[in-house]
Amino acid sequence: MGMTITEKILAKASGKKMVLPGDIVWTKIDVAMLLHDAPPATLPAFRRLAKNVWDPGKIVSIIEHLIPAHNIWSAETQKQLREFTKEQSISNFIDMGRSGICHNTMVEEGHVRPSEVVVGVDSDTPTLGALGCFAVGIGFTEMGAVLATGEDWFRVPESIRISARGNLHDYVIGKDVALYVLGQVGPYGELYKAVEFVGSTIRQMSMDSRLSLINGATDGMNAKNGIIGPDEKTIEYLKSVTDRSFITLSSDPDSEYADTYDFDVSKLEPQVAEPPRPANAKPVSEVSGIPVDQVYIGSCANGRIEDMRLAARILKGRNVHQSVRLLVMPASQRIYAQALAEGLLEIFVKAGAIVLPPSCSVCVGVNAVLAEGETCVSTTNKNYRGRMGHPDSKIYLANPATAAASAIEGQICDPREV
Amino acid sequence: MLKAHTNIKGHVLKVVGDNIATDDIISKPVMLSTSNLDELAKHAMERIDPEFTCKAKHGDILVAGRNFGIGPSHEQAPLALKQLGFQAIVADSFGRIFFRNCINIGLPPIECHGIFPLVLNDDTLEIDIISGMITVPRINKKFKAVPLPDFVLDIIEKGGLISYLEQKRN
Repeated sequence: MGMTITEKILAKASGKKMVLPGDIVWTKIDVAMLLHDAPPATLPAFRRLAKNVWDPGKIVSIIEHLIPAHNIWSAETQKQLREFTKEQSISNFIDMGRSGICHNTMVEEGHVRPSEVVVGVDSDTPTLGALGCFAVGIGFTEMGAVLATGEDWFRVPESIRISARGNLHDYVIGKDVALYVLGQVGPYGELYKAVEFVGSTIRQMSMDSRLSLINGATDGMNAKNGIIGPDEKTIEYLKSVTDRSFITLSSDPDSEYADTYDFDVSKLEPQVAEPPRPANAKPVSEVSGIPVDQVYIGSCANGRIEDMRLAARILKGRNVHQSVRLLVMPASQRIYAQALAEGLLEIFVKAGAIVLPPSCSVCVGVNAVLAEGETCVSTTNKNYRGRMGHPDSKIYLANPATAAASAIEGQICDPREV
Repeated sequence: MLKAHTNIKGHVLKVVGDNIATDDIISKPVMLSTSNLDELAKHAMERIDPEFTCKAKHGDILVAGRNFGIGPSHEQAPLALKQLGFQAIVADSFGRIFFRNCINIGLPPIECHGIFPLVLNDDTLEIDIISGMITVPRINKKFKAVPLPDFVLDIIEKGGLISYLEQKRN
């Protein structure tokens, strides 16, 4: 019996010829991503086991989640991460002013390579699986153990395969495929599984769209990890960001999946997920007209240059509706600079948008907070109750084009009609 | 390091509702302003049950429905519950990162189908973590939890991942 790509990566990392779903394996970690909310719990755990990290070259330390620091706790934890990074001689250190939302920075700075095991102290770490690695979020204490030993334990997940076929229409991108798939599969049906995306639609997607797809689908499905087998596009992208060598693995033709899905997305409309869960996905035409107070275009889900360009196409020469606040956030300093050079930020500012520096602050509800009864259209991947502010505020998830169109019209709006 | 108890006896405190997320257990604004465990514990579950921290007694066993701890990986959620004094969490099913975090911090997560509707607050529960047997003396019933792999039982028995690794190297 063959192995899926996820099983192959875990087998390789644990020094085994073969692994089966359900096996518990100790694997060597290739990359550990450390963020500033970790030190209070991670460092005491680490220091019980070791004085020095197992391999500074395999750790990436990024100051990004809440920058600039929004309160004393945030400032203190960032300071702790800077000090620890220096103490341990971790050279892969990216501070604010150079960084972006961690999952973007990890990819842009060449820290993500196919066939490797990547762990990060954030639940959106599976996003990185779009480049063909096994990437998962872990807790703070566990990260302390990883820093000391360079290893972690995993229960090999069952894999599910989702195939997407057909050419996507204009204004329909990876985000919409993610939402549509969530609507079909449901939020808990594939709990803990490895979700593997295949098919012609995936192959045609840009890297930005693939990252957005894995980000949205894995999180909304409460899966263990999401993955796209590397192809020429992956390799071409990697060559632009790293000189490091890597190998590529792929699922065997006779590998076994717990579930398989096959979707024809050639007629897919832009999707909108109603609160309070990402799996409440509907075609935009079914929710058009709902009044909107705030629109947020950004985040690790959709803050990349493709997303900025898409939003700018809609907003060029237009104005944000008088009753809407529009916030646009390029997801990294690199994307910010690129959007600036391409004239996109000027389009946003002239339309009446606020352009924010890259961080997670809006998604987690500590910036641009929503008041009671307010409605936000957001390109993030989470719309749980109270996520962005008052428990009685509402978040509709959508792609950047739909979000931009909604900002112009003051209500949820199909981008093809604006 | 003390060996964690694998025979647990305590009183039930139920949390009503399925799909309780880590954000519900500890909200984002709280976890982004403090890492102090006592402070976090004070805010446990406040968004869905403001009385929760008053009802919780040291040594209690939390009993929940389906998909308890779904959502983001915040370790603050199980840490706050452990700080409140819960000896174990029994649920119909768990969010997997939450489940994993519970194991790693030494707070036993016990997956047990069908127990939730049959127990009442303050019921005594007796849990044998190794065999997975849960006894409810009031109704004279035994339940069998979903078995935990030996390796995971080992981590729990030793009080969490760090204690497990410490003892492994000694």
